[in-house]
Amino acid sequence: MPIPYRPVPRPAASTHAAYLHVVANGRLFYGGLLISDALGQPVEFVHTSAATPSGVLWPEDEAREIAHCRLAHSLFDACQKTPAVLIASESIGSAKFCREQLAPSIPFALVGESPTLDVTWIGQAPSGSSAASVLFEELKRRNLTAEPFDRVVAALAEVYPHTGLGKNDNS
Amino acid sequence: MITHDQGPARLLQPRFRLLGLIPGREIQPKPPARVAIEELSAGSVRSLIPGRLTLTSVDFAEIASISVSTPSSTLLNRVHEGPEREISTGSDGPRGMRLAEHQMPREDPLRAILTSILQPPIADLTKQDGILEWPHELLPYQREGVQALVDRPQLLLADDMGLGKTIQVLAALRILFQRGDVRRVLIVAPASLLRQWRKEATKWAPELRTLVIAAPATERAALWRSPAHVYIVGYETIRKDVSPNHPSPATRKPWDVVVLDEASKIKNRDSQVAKAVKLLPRRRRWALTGTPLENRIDDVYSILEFILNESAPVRPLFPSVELLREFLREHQLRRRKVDVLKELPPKTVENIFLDLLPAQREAYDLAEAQGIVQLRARGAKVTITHILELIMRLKQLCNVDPASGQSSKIEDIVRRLASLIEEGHRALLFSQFTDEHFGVAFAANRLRAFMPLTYTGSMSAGQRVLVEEQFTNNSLHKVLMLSLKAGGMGLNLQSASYVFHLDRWWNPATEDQAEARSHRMGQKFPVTVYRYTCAKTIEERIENILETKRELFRDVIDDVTLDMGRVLSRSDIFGLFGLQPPVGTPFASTHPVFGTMSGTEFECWLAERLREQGYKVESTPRSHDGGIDLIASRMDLLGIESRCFIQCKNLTNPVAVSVVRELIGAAASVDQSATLIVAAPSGFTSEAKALARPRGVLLWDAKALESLISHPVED
Repeated sequence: MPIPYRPVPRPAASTHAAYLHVVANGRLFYGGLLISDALGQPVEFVHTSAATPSGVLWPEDEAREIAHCRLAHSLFDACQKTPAVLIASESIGSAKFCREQLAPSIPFALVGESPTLDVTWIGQAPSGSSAASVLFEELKRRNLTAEPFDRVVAALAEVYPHTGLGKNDNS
Repeated sequence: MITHDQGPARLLQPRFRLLGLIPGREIQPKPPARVAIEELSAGSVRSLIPGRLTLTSVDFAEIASISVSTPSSTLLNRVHEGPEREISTGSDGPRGMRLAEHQMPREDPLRAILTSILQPPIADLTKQDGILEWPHELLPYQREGVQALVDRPQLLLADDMGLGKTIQVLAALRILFQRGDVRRVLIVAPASLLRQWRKEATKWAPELRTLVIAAPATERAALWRSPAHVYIVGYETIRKDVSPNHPSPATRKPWDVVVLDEASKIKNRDSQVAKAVKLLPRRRRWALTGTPLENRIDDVYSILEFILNESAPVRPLFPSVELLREFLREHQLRRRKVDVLKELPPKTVENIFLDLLPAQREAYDLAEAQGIVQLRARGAKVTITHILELIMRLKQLCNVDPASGQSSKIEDIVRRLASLIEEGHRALLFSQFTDEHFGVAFAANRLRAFMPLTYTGSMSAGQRVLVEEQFTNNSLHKVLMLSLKAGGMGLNLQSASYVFHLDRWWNPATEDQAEARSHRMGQKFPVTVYRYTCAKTIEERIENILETKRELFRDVIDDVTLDMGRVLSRSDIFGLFGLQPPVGTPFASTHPVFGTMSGTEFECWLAERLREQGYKVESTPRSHDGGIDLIASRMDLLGIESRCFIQCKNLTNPVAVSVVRELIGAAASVDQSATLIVAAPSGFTSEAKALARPRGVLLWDAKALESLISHPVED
């Protein structure tokens, strides 16, 4: 018999944020997309991996960009929730790469790893009253803009236990 | 799904490919796998049924198979404990299950682990502005405590009284439920604290459904089967409901967490209640106590058996005190008020030595002189019981001389109360006596100008709750007078900042616990404790011994080194009246207390001890007792009467099985729900134990009986 919890008021709207993160181990790339609610609670996690060919004909930086893009799109397609905002760390690629290659249809923020939290909106920043903006501010207030990437790395290390992820995040 | 543009494809081709220099090999990610995590947060409708989390596979065709050689529950434990998991995989592919879609097992270890890993950090969960809403801010040391509880499947939380062990446990449970790590929790607590636990659970984990298991035996089976997240039950109920020989609803399924509040209740590993709680199947084991080593280091071993999930004695595991200390350092979390509650107002203890008033002195001196004469007249037959009886009588006279009504203590209390009340403060007054001649009722009468309220074990559950609420909410009541036993634990009475001990108690831990009703989190004023001792009386002599004991106790609790044994030796007790213990007395046994009692004396002694614990005790006619000597009954806080049929045997040899059989037979025709007890200092034969155990008959040997002197009956 299911046991209902007693309802408790919640402070945040029922919108979701997506955290995209890719880590690499040599030519192997592992991507994770964590969907969480405004309180940082996980709702969905999608992960996959890809290998890039080696050799001089595949320059490392280009191979990485391609891998990041392919992994991101694969994860975008696989997740079932449609979040209000996508957040990635600066390690995913340049703003130009994000805008031209990843090109998600939802507001997309690149966050820096400095304590001051540099935020770069890819394309136009969402308007102040929009769901994306309200959600992002709520996440910022709770220090949830960068912390979830640690969870993604830990989860990827758990899923791919023999790849040394988590110890050598060289994305 | 997040829609996206594909982007200018040419940018995603290696430059040499564009030149046609490399073959058409492309970077192609493997099909993603997806873990959907059912929302658990407050406000939504959730279920606790297994398989709550669902893993929907996108395509597992290319995912390597894995074998998981440990059950999921073990795995989850290991996640927290850290050691490497025993998981093998055939390739470097992601771990998953070679299962068709929609055939995922209900308990997939990887899914459970991922769900756990992906939860926000505990530190974020316990922040006031974090993910969970808390009624009050958790203090830093409490957040550390919550972290420790969440991280560790076994923990002895031994914080000082008043530091919020209940809150830490409830916060940790809430988080564990939130993360999906636990689904069923059992909290075992003294009956007097069940309501308190439920009240705090409603406050600190409002989304969890709590259920108090307290009802007559016929209704309890249904209660055990009622759905809830957190079951709260008394020690006595566990003792009755859990047996090694009969299936019990309490042991039907493993508990994700079993919490023992006031875990010193199980310090005697041979007690029925200790055996019963250790039969509870449990994944996480937390024991809470502010006084883990109350008087003896032996007390901790039984508790360790519980948290280590050991059925055999653990004492051999610790051949040296050093090893035990090392173990406790790892598995015990103990913080002292002085260390963590810098902001808690200080507690000042003032020992007040008073002279008896003239008529009171006269009455006291006469009583003591007569008492000593009587003791001497007994010669070699004098026992410690006789001494204790005289001590009790003299302590009463130190409170008041009933003939003249003179009481130096009350005079002093009245004077102090008038002053402190004028300053806006309120007070608690504790006494071990409850009657109208010497104790709580007497003091309440003499202090009626301050509109006192009384709180004693003879009050019903409803009355006690009402009194607590009245005192908390109505500041017109300036004083709350409590019996030390009934009001010494579980109550939050921070609205009072002065504590009076009208009389002293043997065990300093009991006094500290009583003072902690006021000196605890939430107290805004410095707490002042007045402990009264009448000069040149038995109280002063006892105080001197108590002071020594208190120093020893501090050593034990903080360094975990000392086996104190019994603090008061026979010589100490006899020495209080300038007497020497009899030499070569013809004791039936070597036991100092029971050895020289006659059968009747032993019965009277036991009846008196039970009355001190709040029982109404009735002696049956000696010639027609039918195997029952004493009938003891008491209402617990929930208004449920517990009744005990007691057979007393003070023999030289262990009691035989026929005595147990006789008691069972006698009780069957009177009241089958009563607790049956055979009290015999000389112990029991193995046949007697074998008959008693499965039938729930309690066998009180000398050790159990001794504990009645300084500790309440279980529950």
